[in-house]
Amino acid sequence: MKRVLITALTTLTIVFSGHPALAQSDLPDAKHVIEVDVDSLVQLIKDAGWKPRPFREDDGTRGVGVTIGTRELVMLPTNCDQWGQCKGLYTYALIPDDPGAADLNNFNLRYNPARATAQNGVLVLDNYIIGDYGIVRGSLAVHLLVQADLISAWWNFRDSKDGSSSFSNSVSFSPISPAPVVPSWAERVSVNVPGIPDTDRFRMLQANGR
Amino acid sequence: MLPLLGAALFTTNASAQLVTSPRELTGLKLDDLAALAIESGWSAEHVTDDDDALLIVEINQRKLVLHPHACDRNGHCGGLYVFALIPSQASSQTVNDFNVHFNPARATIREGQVVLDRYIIGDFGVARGTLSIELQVQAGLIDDWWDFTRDRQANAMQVSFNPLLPEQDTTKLPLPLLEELDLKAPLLEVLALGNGPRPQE
Repeated sequence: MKRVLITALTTLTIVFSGHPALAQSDLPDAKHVIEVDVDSLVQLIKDAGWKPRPFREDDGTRGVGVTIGTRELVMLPTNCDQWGQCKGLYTYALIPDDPGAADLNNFNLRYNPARATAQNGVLVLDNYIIGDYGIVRGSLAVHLLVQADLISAWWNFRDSKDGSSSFSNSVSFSPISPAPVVPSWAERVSVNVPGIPDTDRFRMLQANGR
Repeated sequence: MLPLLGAALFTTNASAQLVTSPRELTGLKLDDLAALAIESGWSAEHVTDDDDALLIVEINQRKLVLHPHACDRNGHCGGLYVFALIPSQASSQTVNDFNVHFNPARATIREGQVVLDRYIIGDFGVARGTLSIELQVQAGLIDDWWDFTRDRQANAMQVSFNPLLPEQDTTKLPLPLLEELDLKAPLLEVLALGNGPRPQE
């Protein structure tokens, strides 16, 4: 796990600064190609030492929430056949912020793996992983770590001189809310990402705050 | 939800298997990439710009640039940066809307010009078939960009524009903005060539 983290941080360093380096991982079967299905994803999350939270929506959509450190992501297999084997994996994080398009562009320029978009008052940090022929476990683990780290990178960017100081629509909430009770503003959040349970949505927004 | 997933599904389904042993892992060295491109039926051209070694892959007349990253002394690379220069000018808002509607896309504006890029994490390898599809999808997104901006212009009746504006000089494409790559203007011009709008049928 620790070495996986080192690898991910190395990857971030590479991407952000361009200094090449590599590290090995002690994640089991890191070079193994896995199918894109919920069971395989849950196993990977457990092996990496993270906490999986599989869910199934009323419409049959299946996915896995994952907690990495304090950050929350969702993994959603897409383009699935009747046996649950899928050809793509959509990962996303909702962030309670509402930046302008210019700031998003600047962030995406500065943080190469980032794909940040603004949708109806919520920042979405997402990625689509093509998995027609499977996904390499170790590379997926690194991808998830990078995505989780990009959430903090967003807030750092936001607080830096590079981020615009004109943000005024940030959502505030109490970090000491005892239970994931969905507040009224969260119910109104409508973004162009697949649905997850409302409580999970709120939990994610809470976890991915500043 | 549907538009986003629809775009993702479409791009994946639209891609064909072009390589043998698609589930085997491939290295990300330029020679590995060139072999994969040629097997996929595309042209591949090695280009060196100062110290930067690149591979230009042409897919359906669209040009992608491949630049391995995080390489060690043995030539093992942990990542692959893929980018396409698009001779188009757009606002940040247009780029954000495009990224929202076309899921795998990561379009950015660099000094007013559009760059479509993607960083593929490959610390532990990338499946050959998956990489082949990645490149097909990236090339297809260039056409998606032009379709998107054309439709957007057609629908934005209130937007005025000056058809007499001078055409973009492709030699002024973003020089210092592709991170550590410091590509020269003649090469940038070559890279953007072919990525413009296709002639209307």
